[in-house]
Amino acid sequence: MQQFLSEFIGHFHPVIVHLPIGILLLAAILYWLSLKKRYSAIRPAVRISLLLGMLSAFAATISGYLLSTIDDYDQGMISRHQWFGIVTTIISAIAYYLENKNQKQFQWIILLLVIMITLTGHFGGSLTHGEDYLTSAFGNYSSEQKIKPIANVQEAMVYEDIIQPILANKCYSCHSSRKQKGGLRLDDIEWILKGGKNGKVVKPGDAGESEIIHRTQLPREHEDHMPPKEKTQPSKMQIQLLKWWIAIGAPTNKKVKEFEQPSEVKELLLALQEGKESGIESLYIPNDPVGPASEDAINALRVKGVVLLPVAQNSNYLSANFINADTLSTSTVIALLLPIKNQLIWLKLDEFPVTDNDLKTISQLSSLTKLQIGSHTISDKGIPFLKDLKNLQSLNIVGTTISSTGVIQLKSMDRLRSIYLFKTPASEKECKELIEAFPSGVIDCGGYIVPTLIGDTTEVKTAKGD
Amino acid sequence: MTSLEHLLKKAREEYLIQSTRRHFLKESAMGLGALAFGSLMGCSTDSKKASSRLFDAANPLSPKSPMFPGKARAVIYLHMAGAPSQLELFDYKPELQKLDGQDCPPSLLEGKRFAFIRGVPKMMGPQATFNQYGQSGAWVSNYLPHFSTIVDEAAIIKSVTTDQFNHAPAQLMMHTGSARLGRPSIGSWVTYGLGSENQNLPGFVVLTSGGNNPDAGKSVWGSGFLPSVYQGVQCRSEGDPVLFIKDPQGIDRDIRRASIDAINEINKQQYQESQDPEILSRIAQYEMAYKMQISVPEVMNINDEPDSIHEMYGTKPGKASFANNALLARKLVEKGVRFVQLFDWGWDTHGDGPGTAVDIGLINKCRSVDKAMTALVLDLKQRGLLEETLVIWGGEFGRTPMRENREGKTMPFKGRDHHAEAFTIWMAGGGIKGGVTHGETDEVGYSITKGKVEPFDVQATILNQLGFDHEKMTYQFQGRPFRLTDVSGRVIEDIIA
Repeated sequence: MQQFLSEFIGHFHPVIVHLPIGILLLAAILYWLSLKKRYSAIRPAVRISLLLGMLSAFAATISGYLLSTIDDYDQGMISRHQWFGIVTTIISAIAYYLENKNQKQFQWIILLLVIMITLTGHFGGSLTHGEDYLTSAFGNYSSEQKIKPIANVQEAMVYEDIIQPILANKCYSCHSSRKQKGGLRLDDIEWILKGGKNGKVVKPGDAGESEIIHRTQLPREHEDHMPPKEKTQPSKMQIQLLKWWIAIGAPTNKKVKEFEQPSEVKELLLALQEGKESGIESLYIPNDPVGPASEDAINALRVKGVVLLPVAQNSNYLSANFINADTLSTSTVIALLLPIKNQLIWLKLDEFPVTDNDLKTISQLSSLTKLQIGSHTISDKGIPFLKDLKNLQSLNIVGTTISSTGVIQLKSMDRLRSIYLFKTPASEKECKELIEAFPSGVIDCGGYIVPTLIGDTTEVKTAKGD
Repeated sequence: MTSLEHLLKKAREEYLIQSTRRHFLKESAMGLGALAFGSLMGCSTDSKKASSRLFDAANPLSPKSPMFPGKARAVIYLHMAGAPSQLELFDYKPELQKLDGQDCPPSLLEGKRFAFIRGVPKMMGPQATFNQYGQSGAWVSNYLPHFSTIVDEAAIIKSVTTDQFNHAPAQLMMHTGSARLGRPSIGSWVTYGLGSENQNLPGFVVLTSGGNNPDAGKSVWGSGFLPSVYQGVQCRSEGDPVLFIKDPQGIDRDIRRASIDAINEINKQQYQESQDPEILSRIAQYEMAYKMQISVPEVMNINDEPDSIHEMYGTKPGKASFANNALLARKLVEKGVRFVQLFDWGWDTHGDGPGTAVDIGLINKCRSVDKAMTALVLDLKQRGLLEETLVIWGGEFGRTPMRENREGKTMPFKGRDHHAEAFTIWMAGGGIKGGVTHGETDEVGYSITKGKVEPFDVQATILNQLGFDHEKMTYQFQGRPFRLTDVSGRVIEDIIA
């Protein structure tokens, strides 16, 4: 019952505090105005304002005290706000007492009162909104730092360089020296392992059983989801790194290279090194922004039946699909792509009859990350041009006549993550060699077989029999 | 009075006499309508209304960008109409085997309603044998020998649940987000959002097999309150792909063109008068139909595919079959169609005959789709299309762990009743993580214990993969913005690569 009352009354504190602030400040303003002859008539109002202000200050102090007993705030900051609040209440009482006694002392006590109210209010605000709330507009915000790229990720410290910045970014505002919601602090490994009042949050060696991971995976609207839904959420990459850190036993003071790194973690770590916050460019979209392409260039292509679209509504990067394109003058249409070479990242030529010579033009489209050519007129002669596409990640040459000797030359393109070779002349044996020559998963020669089983062409008539 | 004046006066009088109350009402109604229309459409500056921005009446199927870069460009949805038994295909329950033949415990029956089960039914163990496959060790039964070879490409979701236990409402729920008629299907929403990449083909094509249309009828690919141009175009894999697609005898291509031009001219005049955007859609549809006369027979012809591909899918050109439809789905997606919806009828295994027995008919149904759906995934993969095409396989609900006892009597064959609480679907490609099993059911597969997924969540995930926030993709109708996922739906993050 007592807990319930404390909580109920305590939760009125954020409302009540505004009354003494407003009323006492008004009292001061009225007093200063009344010093002027013109406004001397309002002097009696000062006393009434002071009385009301004092009473509301008292109510705010009581409710504030009750709130401090039930919520988890930093004790240092709480006591500062608490004592300033109590002193402010006392001063307001003194001011009320002196108002019709000693005018000389009264004018000083009013000034002190204004200063105390301002400070108490500020400390209270810091408690709820964070210490840097007021100054964050000056750009010197510390709670949401950008995570800096790491020069050599293998040499970096797992906890200190990778995990701590994530926690600082996403968790500290409620779980650090400032505030300990749920009795949890995450700003030191000791506190992290200790957990909060609902138990441990990290189970070293078992990310799946760790509450800190579990909470982030809950649906966002779930009451227990962390960080709360209105706060910025950690990226998938950050959660995965956190998982990895827990899985390897939540070490501190250890370097990344000392631990085993599954391939997806390796990729994330590499992304970290390159300063990509959101992780790998799985969507074949560069991270750097680009200016819009010229309208004329876009229209020139559209007139020729090329489907030219931004990859997303607010992106300047473009995708082009030649599925309906005018095949009368292929080279001219291909040349129209040049003015948009900075924006064009996905190019789908379908069976558009391009030739090896057109590849020379295409090789200048340096932003391309995804390229599909299906014309059988493309041969090994075009390969040297393709090598110029430094950003290419996916190459689909299904149906071209590029041979395995051509494909092997693409080995130098280290960003390539997939090459589709179905319906090209490469034999089964050559394909095997290619698969071995490239990193795993890059080469897909197709030609998959789904064998015809007896069951595929017969019917079962009775139970348990064919 | 001259004769001319007399004539004019007569004409005026005649005009007034002829103008009936009906004319007056019609004209004033038009005026009021125009006013209302103006305030609805003309002066709206609310940029949040994505609907008015997405819908361009003059060119409703023009290709559009998604809200954010989507991993998938197209969707192939394989719906097994009638609801396949998850307990014979994916959701392996050895515990259920132990309870085989025993009375169903009252805890599973109290307060529940079933379509046919009455009184106390008997539990029925899995009729198939299960094994783990692939690197992920996913459980698949011997009913799907082909699919078991590609489990590492797919995310198997064992924890889908719905609130409908009859076919038609449940199918509507899966495809339109509402158990009642009138909402647009997911394919319509997608076409509304993305348009058609190929200007000679519709954005949303429907193919059916199994001898029947799904129970919910054509509403499962209808456009609801979206402009009708976004409804699914049903094509046939036998005979003409679209009825009356050929020009009739004596009408050549030029005459067809001239007549469409004439019709469009009249339609344009009508549009000037009434400003009804549906008329523009109609004009666009006439144009599309004209182009489709050439493009559809071309894309719907599987005869030109090499033998190896026919071998792979198990297709027989000229026959209506799921295999043919699966191959067509690949061809359509290759040609830029956004959403291909396949319905295969006949999965309603109640056990009232051999064809609906889980140990006879279900095996045959599986045999009719297993090879083709496996081939579809692999064929997309080898063409580099799987990474940008989302494939979904599933039914509208699941089947009970109890043996059906229609009217309280023992059925002649082994069957299972409709079960809304738990069923299994799988997704592959289009940015979905392969080799993942999401969610769990209890030890008899009755209810969900972990990772519950609602039809809305499946829809939200599909839209997400295409680059749409399901909460922001809306259409203004009856004075409020409507969503596919209504007020629910969350993306199944666990299965996204």
